[in-house]
Amino acid sequence: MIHYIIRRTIYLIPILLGAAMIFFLIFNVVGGQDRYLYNMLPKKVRTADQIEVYRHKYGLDKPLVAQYLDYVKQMVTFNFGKSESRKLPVTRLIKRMVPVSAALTFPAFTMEIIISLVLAALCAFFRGRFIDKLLTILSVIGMSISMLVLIMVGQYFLSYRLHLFPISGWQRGIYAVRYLMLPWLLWVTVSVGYDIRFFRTALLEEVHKDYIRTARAKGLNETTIMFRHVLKNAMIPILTYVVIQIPFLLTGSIMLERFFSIPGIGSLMVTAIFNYDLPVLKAIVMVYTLFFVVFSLLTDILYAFVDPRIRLS
Amino acid sequence: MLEKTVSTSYREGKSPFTLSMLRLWRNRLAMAALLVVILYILLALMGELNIFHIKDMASNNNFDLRYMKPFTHIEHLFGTDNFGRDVLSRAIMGTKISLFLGFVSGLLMIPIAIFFGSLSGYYSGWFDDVAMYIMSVIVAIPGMLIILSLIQVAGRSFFIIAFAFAVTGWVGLARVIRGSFMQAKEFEYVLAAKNLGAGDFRIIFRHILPNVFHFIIVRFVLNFVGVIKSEVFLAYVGLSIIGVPTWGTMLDDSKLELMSGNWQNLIAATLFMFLFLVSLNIFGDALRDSLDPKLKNVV
Repeated sequence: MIHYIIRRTIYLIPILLGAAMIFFLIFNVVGGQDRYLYNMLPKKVRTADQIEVYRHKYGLDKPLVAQYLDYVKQMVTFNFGKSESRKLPVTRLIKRMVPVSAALTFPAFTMEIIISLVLAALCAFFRGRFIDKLLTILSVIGMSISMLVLIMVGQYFLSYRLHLFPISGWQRGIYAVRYLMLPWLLWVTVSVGYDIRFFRTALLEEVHKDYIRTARAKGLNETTIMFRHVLKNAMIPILTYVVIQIPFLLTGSIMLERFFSIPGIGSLMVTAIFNYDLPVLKAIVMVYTLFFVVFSLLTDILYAFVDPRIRLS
Repeated sequence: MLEKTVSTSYREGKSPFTLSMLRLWRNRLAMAALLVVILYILLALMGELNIFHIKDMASNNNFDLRYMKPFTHIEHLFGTDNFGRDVLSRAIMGTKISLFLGFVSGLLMIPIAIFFGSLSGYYSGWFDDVAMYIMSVIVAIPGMLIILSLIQVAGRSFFIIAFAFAVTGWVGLARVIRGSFMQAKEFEYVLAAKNLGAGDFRIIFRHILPNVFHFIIVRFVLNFVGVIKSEVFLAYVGLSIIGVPTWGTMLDDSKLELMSGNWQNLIAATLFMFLFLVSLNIFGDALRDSLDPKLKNVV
């Protein structure tokens, strides 16, 4: 076990290097450096000699290999320099925005998981009956509506017409909840369909196993079977499904954040892509990759922990 | 001497694929969904061939006809948009783009997934290590970041967008294929084929690959759903294909029109997209259920 964890942690290094490489290739080789340099600069200083100054400042006059090594050095020291469009150190920018994204995603995610688990359990309990069919149809419908439509219609009716929520905006501190209510609601609406289906399948897979038949044959009632046996065993896929999504929560929801002008990582990422703000993007790639690898390791450990049949090697 | 004539009338057994197609055929809901999908394809074809002037009406600006309300004029059923273009025609032309985008990105994605998935599952040596490494790296970067940066850097053209979807989309399928190959290579039929002198190439493509083909088909169908939804997202951040009407751009246009009471873009694009995605979801699920050998005895 410890051996496994150590090996996986060391494997983090090539993954981070690879992620950096892909990112590096997209911007510096596919795009071409002149283009990225040109777009990155503020409009005032887009003159030939200013571009040369900036080229030197960002180390773009070095060979590609040296540039990549610079990037690696930045990752190791976690010092990505200053964001060109926001005039702030990238590290501070990220530190300020991760909590905002987390405030949007984590409560919404928690609510949505609880709601869909309850509904999925309902489906599995009354499988084949009316409520199961209704929820299945509703979840297919939910899966087929675009998030953008829900956001627009939700904002128009709930905020603009009924004045239930503020239309968009952001405040620091506890007042943020006011602005987050509608995004939370929309998040839950969008993702509950997928998750009901996933959880329902996970539960039903257990229901059809032999040991459940045995339990039923020895006379246990359906409620006990459902909560003592099925739910417990179905927790294994459900738990991994939940944990593996946590890194995604940290990059926030690009659509919700942009639409409701919430200053989180998602909207930062999109503006950074448009402004060719490479320092910011580099930092986001690194933070996300780090979290992703750590949480997938955590998932594996959790897996072995809840299911003794699985042995890590 | 009595000569006995042996009766040669015997019934040939049906192949598993035929059986699963029969199961699918009996599923009425799935067949209805497939019919809707086919209708969409015909509609896109009609648009492309400019029948009923669909293509012209989708692109010709006519400022006298700006913002006609939906369901009031028979010749512009869903009304007209900001530039006086017929919204229904634009939605039909958007169908074409969505279908193409799903199709091309699927076609680009599948060979990559088969290549990496099958070889790494079958050989499980250094190639497996390399393939797994590439896959874990791609998964470890936010997919949208790759897609958005690629489009931003390389341009908002159709093929770049399809390619961007393929680059991020193949990993999931390759993992499934790899898993099945790892299981399959231990089975007796593979051993038998090997003993009969079949080469690796033949075993991989003739013997094992047909067994994982249902994953590929289902993934191909459901790829459309993902691509269409992502296209809306791209349009929203302003990175969809330039110069053609897509469902995403229509929704994005309607973002600012709602306040002035113009719902035509939203209604048309939502309706078109919703019906298509519902049908694809239903058909994809039914396809998965009917092709899955584990569920063979259910019907």
